[in-house]
Amino acid sequence: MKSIGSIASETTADLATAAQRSVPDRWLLPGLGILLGAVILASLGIGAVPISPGQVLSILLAPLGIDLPWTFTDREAAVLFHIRAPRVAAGLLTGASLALGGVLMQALFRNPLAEPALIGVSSGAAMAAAALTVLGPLFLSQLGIPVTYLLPIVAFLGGWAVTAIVVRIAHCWGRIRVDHLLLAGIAMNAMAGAAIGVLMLIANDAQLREVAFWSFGSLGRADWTIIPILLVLTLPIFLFAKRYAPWFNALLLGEGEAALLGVPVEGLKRASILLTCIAIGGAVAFTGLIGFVGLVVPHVIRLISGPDHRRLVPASALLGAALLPLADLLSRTVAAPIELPIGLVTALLGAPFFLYLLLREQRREGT
Amino acid sequence: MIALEHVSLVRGNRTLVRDATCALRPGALTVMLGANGAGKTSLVRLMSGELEPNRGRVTCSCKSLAQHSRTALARCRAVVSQHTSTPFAFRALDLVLLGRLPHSRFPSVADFAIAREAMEQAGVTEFAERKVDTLSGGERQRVHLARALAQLHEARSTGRGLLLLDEPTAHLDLAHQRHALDLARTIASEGLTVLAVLHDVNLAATYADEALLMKDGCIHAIGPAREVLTLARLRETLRVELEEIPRANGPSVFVPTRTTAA
Repeated sequence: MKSIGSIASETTADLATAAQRSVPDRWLLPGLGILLGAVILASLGIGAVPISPGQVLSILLAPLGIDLPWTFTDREAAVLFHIRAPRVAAGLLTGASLALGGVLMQALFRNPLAEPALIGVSSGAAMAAAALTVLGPLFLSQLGIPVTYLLPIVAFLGGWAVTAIVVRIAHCWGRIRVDHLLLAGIAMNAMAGAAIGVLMLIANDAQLREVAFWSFGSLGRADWTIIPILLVLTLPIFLFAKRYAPWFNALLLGEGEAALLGVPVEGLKRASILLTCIAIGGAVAFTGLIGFVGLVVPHVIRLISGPDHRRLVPASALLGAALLPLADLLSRTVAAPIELPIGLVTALLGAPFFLYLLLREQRREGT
Repeated sequence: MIALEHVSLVRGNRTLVRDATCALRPGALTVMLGANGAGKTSLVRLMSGELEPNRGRVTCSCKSLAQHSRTALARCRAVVSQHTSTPFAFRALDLVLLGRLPHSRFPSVADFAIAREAMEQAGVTEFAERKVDTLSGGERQRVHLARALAQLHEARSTGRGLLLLDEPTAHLDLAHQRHALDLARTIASEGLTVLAVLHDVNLAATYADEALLMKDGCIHAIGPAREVLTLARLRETLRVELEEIPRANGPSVFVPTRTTAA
């Protein structure tokens, strides 16, 4: 048997060569950080009122008393602070939420096809939002409550309610059966879809457009009041996923194996579902259904740097945070002044890129 | 170290393990034999704490398994299961590093060294950078053995621990079967309790200190391998006609004859 000392010196050498070889790993997080910064600058600058990156920096740093050489008008500052910045912030937080929800659900279900919508939170929120949009005016107009303010709250509660039903069904003998969770989620998603269909049949034209727009998502309603709420809903899932990343690695071996490695599997599953429900429920409540991000972002990171959650979690959060403001930027500039639903853009942008990565991976394995 | 007291395991209307009472001897390699569906894997899962018995209790160091903390148990007990798959392929080294999880959530340089040492002992150093899903069944099995060794590193230096191997030789060629069982014996000689489920009677007779025969969910016999692995007992437990060929220097060789028993 070799002594630990002699092996330790070899290992240090191993670590050094590993660091040299895996250049993508080392540059992954800084690279994504740069991407995120660039996307933020572009999203803040591009639009009906163009603001150059230098001006964007000037405007952002002016309140801190830092004067940069680029000059700007009050109007430009107002557009940036009150219209574009909350939209970018909402996109950033929603994107990170969706990506992290995807990471947790793919680990929980041990299934590459899993996405945060699988536990019913998104369809529940969509159903509740559609119900309020279509049926709400019948009851609420007498009470004088405007539908707009109620929508996020009702959507959030709807997401919670459907997830609670899904989890309750999958709960048996004191544990959550993940296979049943998947099937119950699919069934509840189908039911919610059918309910939305029925609501759309009885909706008038304006309501129909509202429901349709909502089911493809939009950051157009974002203002500063929702940012703290989104932040409070997103932060827990990030901190949790980052702290317990090694446990999610073990979970990939299977629940039994993870438990044998000392992982409190049931607690981990429950917390994952709860935090995903909180983060995704919030995201969907404010921005509508934005597909594909939760499914694809974790895969993109895995294809670049492998399945280790210690890298996967922060990298997915960064990529999700960059991707959604980018999609939003495209959604409001490609066919301006018409604004495309962001869900269409994420699918149009994400799917081909994902297929490219998939084909590249196949080629690499073939050689 | 590990003992079962009148343990029964019932799932639905099937009794998988019936009134099992036994204690495994620390410092010895115990080999479990039995026909398919005799309850071998269930017994291993009861001993590992993965399943809780419906009746009776499983004790580790005189304390019920449930009284041990999950992490404390994971530090001194490792299991190599029959079937393990991952949906997203790890590098073999990362998989072995998972064995360090009960000791430190984020691996240090020392943990890397321990993982490397475990891989060397299991003979899988060359696969370190390979993705697990590109390895053959046998190679993967050995990587999982390395993971178990990394998990038990501290237990091996204190000489107190439990290694459960569920068919560790299933996918291995003869040379690696020998290597795996040599390793199991080495670990037992360090004071740990080692249990291996095997199907090869002769491999069992060659390596086992103790033998445990399972039949229809019951422990049919347990004791020193020489006394337990007899022609009559093996015929009865495995329900197969065997011929015993005595050898001058070592245990007899058992060969199945062509017709099976009713």
